[in-house]
Amino acid sequence: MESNLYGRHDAGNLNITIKYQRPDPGIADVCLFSSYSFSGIVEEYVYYYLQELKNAGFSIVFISTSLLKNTCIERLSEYAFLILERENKCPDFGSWKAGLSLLDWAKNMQSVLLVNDSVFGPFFNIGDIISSMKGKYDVWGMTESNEINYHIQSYFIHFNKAAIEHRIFSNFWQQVDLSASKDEVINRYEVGLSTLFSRNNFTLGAYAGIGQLTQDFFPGHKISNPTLVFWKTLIQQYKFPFLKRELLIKMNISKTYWAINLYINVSGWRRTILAATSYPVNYIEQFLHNYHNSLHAGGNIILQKRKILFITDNAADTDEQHLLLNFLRWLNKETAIKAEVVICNKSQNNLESQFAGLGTVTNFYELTNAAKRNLKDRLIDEIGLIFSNTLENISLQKFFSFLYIPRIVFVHESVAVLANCLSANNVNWLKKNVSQFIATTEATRQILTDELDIPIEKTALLHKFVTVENKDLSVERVINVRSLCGIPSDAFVVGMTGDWVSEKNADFLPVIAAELCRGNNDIHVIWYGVEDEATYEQTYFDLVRSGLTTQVHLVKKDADPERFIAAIDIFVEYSRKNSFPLINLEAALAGRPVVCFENPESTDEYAAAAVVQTVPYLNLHALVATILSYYNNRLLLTTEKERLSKIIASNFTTAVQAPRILQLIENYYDINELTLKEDPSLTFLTHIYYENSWDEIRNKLKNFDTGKNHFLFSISEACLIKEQIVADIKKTFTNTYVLITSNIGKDIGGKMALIDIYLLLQLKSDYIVFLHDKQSPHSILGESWKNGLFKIIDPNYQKMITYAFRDSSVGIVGDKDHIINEHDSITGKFRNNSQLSKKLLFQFDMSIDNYNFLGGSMYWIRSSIIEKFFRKNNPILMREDLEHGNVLDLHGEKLAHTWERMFSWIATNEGYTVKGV
Amino acid sequence: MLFEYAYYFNNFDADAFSNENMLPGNFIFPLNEKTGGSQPGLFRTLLKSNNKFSFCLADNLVQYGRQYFKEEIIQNLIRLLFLPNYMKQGDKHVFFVKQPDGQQYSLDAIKTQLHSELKKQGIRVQLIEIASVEEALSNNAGLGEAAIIHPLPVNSSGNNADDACLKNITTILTNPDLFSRKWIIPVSSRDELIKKNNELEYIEKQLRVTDPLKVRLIELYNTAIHKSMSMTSENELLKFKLENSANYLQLIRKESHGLIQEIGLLRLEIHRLTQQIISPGSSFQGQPTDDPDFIMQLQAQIMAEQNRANETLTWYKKEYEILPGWYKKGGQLLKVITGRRTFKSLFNKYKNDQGRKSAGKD
Repeated sequence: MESNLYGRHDAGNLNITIKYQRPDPGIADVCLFSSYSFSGIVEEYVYYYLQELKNAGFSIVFISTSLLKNTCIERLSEYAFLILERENKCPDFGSWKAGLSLLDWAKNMQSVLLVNDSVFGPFFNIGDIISSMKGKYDVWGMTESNEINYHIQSYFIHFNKAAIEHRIFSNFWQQVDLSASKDEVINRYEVGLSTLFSRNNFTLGAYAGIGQLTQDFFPGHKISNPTLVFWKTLIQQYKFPFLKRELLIKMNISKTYWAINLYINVSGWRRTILAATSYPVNYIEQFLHNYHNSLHAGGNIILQKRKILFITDNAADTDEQHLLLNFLRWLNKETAIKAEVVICNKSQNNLESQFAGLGTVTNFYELTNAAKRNLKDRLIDEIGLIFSNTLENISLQKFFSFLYIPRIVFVHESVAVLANCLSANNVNWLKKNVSQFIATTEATRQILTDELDIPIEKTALLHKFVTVENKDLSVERVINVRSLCGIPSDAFVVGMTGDWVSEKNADFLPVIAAELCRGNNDIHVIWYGVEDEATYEQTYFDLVRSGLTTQVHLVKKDADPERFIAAIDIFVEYSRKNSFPLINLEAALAGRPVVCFENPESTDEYAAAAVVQTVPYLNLHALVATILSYYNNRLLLTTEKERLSKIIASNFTTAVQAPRILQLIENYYDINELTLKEDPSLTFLTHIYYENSWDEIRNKLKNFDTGKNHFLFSISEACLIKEQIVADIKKTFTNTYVLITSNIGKDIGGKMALIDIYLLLQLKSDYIVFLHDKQSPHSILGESWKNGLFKIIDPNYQKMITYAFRDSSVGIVGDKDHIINEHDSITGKFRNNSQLSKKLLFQFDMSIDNYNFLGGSMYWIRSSIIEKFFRKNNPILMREDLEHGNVLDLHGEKLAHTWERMFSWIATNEGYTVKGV
Repeated sequence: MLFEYAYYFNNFDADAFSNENMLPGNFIFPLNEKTGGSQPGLFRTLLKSNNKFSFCLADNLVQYGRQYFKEEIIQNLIRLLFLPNYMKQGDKHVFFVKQPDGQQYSLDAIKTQLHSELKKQGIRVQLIEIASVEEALSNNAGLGEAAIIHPLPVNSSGNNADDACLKNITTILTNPDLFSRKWIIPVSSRDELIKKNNELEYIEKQLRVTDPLKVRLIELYNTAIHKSMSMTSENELLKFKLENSANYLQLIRKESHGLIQEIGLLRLEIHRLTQQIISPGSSFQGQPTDDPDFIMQLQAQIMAEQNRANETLTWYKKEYEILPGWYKKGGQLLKVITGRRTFKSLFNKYKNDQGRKSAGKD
């Protein structure tokens, strides 16, 4: 140790290096600042804290348990009169001991403040806080905790002169053992210090007392750490000056108190600090980046923005879902915001694959209780806002209450549903928990404010919108489409649609058509949306009797609506519902005049905007007259075409409305807030054989396409749609490689070819995920088998799997129900494929005592296991011995099935175990 | 294009092959040092390209030993053949053969070895000999449907060859014995490739103007050949899949039969127990059946058995319902077999998915 101004007592035993010292004759209030740098530099937030302490009148001793660069020491010397460096042993208490030992245990000083760099702040003037607390207690801190026992939390402890001068102060510090374990430090020193002073009749307290906090907010949680559980309340309501650093960097902090059903959600930290304080949050962001970089070399941690959780009633082919899809597509294209989609209820799910392309999709109705817990486990750390595309499904919306984050509800429900179907309890819940309602009509908005008593400022009006696409509406196209329906190119074509079955719109069709077509042979009507055979026959019967079959054309619901719109001159929508379907806007966007019934709850607003023309409800005569006004004045069609397109383009398109939704979202969601996430790099080796499996596999795998994972596909040459799948793969995935492999060895043959590519390209990943489109058509259990095996590509199981791999002895993880052991230790034989198993084990010189294997060949395996084995044993060479065709091992031993076992045994041979989830 | 061209590069040229501005075309490269060995870059280039490619066996291979060639196939060639853009004829991988003069025996050995090594990997090979126009016309070397190599001259300024030359080329291309062959156009650089490509486009354009009938006939021929080949190849796959599914159906029927039998036995047992209990004054397993506790216990047991039977049946029905869809497409398969529908159409999920319900909730 250098000769120094402050050295004395047992400081020589503390392995301290004095990096800087200067005389400070006027020390009265000293602050000992304990620090450790992850990145090798002193962070800006630390300098900020030091400056605030200096401003509050403290003389500072800076003690670092990491090496300090000269530039840092130089800058630190502006704040500290003494800078120490010591080994990283018993941090904090060891550092404070080291500092105090050099200051003669602070004798003759007025006060001692012990702090560390485990908090960001101060957000408010620390001097004011200290002044307000000084007279209240002898020993005090910022917060106190009842965990283990009552104690002042050690990131900030202030001692007054009386406390310092008592012998227990110097005795305590002299007895601090630098070799103490982390638990000992907490028990003996952190808790022990408070106990010691309390027993000696000193007064102890905290700036934000735990009693008041729990009483006000979470009764019954007195044993929790208030800086973690109440971080937001502390800042917003207690003018609390700090945010614990571990909230932002400790993995799975959210689950600290899961056992007592208490979730910590740090979402909104940035906005909370910005709104309540003038603290430069960029210092925190800078630290997060530096911290992440320091982990980068060996960790699986990524720094990411939080996602938005979109809840939708179902994935059926309806307007509500299309509106959400329109918005999600825009969001995906125009912003870096990631989406998570939860589908509440089962439907035909026509649009599920479209949702899947825009974010991680969870079909909530399929989840078991265990899977719901997994979903919570994942979402707690990833979501920053809930955007519900439905006001219904309240129980599911309540399920997500554990997130404690803002919610926005896009209200599509009819006025009747809003006014009559919501229980008082649910209305109260919505009022309390929803930050913003978006209504698609003024009528809906009024119900929200007048009937449900939602404050007006919590509601917004946003009309429906359609996406402008380059649709071919050229004359040639119109002629072409008309000719397909047998309609002359110069005919006047009236388009109609509606809900064929439930609304019985078909009833009116023959009546309206008769009125229009009689005497007007060049008027043709296309009804779009036929879906019910009985109604079709009934309607057709009427058309035959009225002699209109040549002029009225019934088109099925699954026909392309774009072609329908291209073929018509004018569009009529005579719904009995209180709805305004999107197809009205699509028709108007294409320049087709739209005529519908008056309806104060929906249509009238669009009529006021001159998007549609309305006639009184069920006044068919007026409806026909309006249509004929265009028939008799074709010039009107031309002028309307331009006007309508312009109105829609400038008011009712995704490009116009989506930014407005985003603006509402940004009132509650912080697009710039960063969070650390454990996310190992994966390489998926997937073999596809069946024609009907690709959609499911693609949708599931897309959830893992984060940009850093690799996707290797082997499509069997026996798959009849291989070219389409190859094209879809190239279009859908980043970092993808695809082969069309010959049909040998079933999925094993394909996977061997992919291992060859993996090794050739030297892809680096933590785990390889083996996958194929298992169908097991030889057994009625096939679907159940597949569902179990596919857990490994369910994002909700990812945490469970990565958690399993935290045990370094685990080499391979898959579905627990597929862990099989066919070995009979008495006979030494295997139940199936015994000879071949023994042959392969011998061939590769493998000696193992546990023959567990993951059947089904779908699992996560440490990449190193595959790399090591197959670098020595060429996978293509292994492949040539596999059986040709789609073989089963029910009637004899098969090499392909033996290899199914071998992958697990290769891991076992390397000393790893097989684990199930 | 009207004729089937493939550009023959004596040396692999990654730039030319992966050039985005090039129209999709077919390329041939010799198997040599540039295309052999462990080359991640080569693999990536070939994978990313929109162009098709194939390899040519040429005299340079004669120098390599049998073991070396085997290792090269295993270690480096197979993965390239698995690329989706490797040229195929039906389900066979196409290799061109450029016979060396006077060393026929050596190349034959290579051809045989290639066949045999690739067969182990489940890859079937279609060897196509390369012949000159003269050789093809005389057919004196037993070349059958050989591909025809043509230098396609372009002048040094990059313009098309003169009219006479072009006319000569057109005559050769449209020769009734040759027009359906693969045309191999040697190129040595990207520039030359672009020039020759332009020239071929020009020739075809001219031909369409001067002889539209011939063009139409060639197009019809091409369509027929293409359909025939894809039908043959699909039929082979279909046969394979049907055989598999017949096998699977047998197994699943056996499994289902076992389950149905189990359900029947459970129901019989329930019936027997119920009868035994409800008979007045009877005893069951030594206990009088008028003991209320015992009756309750037995009833609970019967209920449990009944539930088990019902659950088993429900489960069976559910599992059967979610059987892979194509089992239930038996009728559709018949249509395929009788040629009224293509097998692919059974799985065509990529058609325009635009139809949707227009009137939703508001």
